[in-house]
Amino acid sequence: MGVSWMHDAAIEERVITLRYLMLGAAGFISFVTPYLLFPDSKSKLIQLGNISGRKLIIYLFNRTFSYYLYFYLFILATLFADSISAGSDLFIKSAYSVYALLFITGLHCFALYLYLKVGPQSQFWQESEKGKELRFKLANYFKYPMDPGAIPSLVNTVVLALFGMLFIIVSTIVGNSMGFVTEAALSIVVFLIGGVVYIARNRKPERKYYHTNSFFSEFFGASQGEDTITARREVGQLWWVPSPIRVNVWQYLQQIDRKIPAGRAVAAGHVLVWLVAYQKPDINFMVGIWTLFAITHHLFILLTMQRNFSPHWMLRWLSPIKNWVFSWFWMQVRWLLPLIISMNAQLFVFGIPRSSDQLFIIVVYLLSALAVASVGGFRLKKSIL
Amino acid sequence: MIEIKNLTKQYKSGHPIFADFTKSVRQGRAVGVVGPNGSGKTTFLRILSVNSFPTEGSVKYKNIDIHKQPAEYLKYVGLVHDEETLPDHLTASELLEWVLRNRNLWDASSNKKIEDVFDQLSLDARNEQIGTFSTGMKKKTQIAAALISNPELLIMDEPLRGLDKETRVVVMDLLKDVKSKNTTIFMSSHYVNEENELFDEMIQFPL
Repeated sequence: MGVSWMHDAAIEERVITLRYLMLGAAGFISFVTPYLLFPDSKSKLIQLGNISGRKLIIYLFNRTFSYYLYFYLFILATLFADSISAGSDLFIKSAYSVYALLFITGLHCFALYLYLKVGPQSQFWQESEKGKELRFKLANYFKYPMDPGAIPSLVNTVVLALFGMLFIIVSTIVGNSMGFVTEAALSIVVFLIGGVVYIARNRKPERKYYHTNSFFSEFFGASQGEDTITARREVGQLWWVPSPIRVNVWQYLQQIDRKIPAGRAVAAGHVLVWLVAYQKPDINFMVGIWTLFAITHHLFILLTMQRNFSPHWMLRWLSPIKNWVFSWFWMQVRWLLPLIISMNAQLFVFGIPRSSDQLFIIVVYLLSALAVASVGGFRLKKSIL
Repeated sequence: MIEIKNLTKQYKSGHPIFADFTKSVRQGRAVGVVGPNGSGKTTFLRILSVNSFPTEGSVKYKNIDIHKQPAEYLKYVGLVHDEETLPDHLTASELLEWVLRNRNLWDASSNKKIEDVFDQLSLDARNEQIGTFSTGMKKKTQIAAALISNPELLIMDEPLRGLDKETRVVVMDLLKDVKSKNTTIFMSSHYVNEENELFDEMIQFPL
């Protein structure tokens, strides 16, 4: 998609796109990193192996890198995918690619450092009297259900996102007045900060890892009782689900919303798509982005297929496999209306995606939901010994 | 009546775990499934709960071939599986609500019924997410989920594992009560002494 979008773009356009991409990456890395890290399903294996702090640092980096790798690929495609003059402005392109890669690697390391050590602070706020008071105040004054234990992570998210985004703005201003080499060189600062705090000055990372992992294991499994909005969801509220599978869908929605802030994640996805649309790219590229985003929604199905959401013996006991396929499929219907509203709002503002494109995206959304749900059904069937 | 006919199970050709096993069990009987580790008890109970398919032979309940019409059969079944895996992010109460609604048994008295069964099992953390539970608490939740729908057939693999002595006594009393309502029970356990009063017959493994 990057190639189809940028292949005939001028260098100035590429640089502007790169900056937007970096802004998006800063937001994404700030928000997503703790969810990728903790709770870690391999923690017991790590304990058994008693792996060293140095190896743990590398392991955590690799774990998140496999997701952030796509930013690296997109950066390179944005700068070097050039069908008009592949050999032109190579020095500028190289300088900006180094700039973006160092920035993302540095921010990635900085995020790992901050989230790795968040456990003790989170536990303090979650379990102390002070935290209890705060929970009470939030619930009473702001009518907002929030666990105090989540506050240190929230602060980290804000700090990282602000740091990353402000850096890009400042370096752009510097670059405009002092040239692109200076702008590119500034990213060494982020790279060094990240590298130094995460690798060189990260004392006893294994202790931080065990503490933070155990906190998040308890936190994501912990009861939130009447404090959470999910606790108040009733089966009858799911009027849009056929009654034979309503309770199956209900239990999945309860579980998803307790595991991750699903609504916020989807909303963030919409913001990113709008950010791309703001660049007024080629219409086919934009349809591609919408299609990709539509399919990405089905990660929720994959999430609920995990054994700690869906013990296979229990699913088979309670409903036939075909009911589970339809439950996973219908579960996804809840994101369809926001998708349609967002696409139509964009049609109104930017003139894309057209109605025929929207129809195509919706059909892909539904068919891919059915395909992913069918994979779940197949796995359920295959798990019988 | 459950009819087990010429049941054979082998994971590898030529190495049957059990072969040609035939037995009929009348409704309302309690059958103990006993034997050393690795002798095939869990495999046998998995076959009865349609979590495993026999290599040969068949199992019929009310003339339903359970492996050909599993959905028809499983609606009569209460199940305590050998794994303690349960949905981590549901509360124990929600799990039971899910079971009852799934069986179309939800009514105005259901909340009280759920409270009662957890009271009997002394599970105070019924509104906590299951992911925070200890092994024993998960076992209690599984037992409650198996019993809540008043099943006609109860299949339980080591339901007392991980439970303290007091709770084991409570569970045995619950099972006696269930049996008195004409429920058929298949249950494996290592606590044979405590269950002697419950069982009408035993299947000794290896077969």
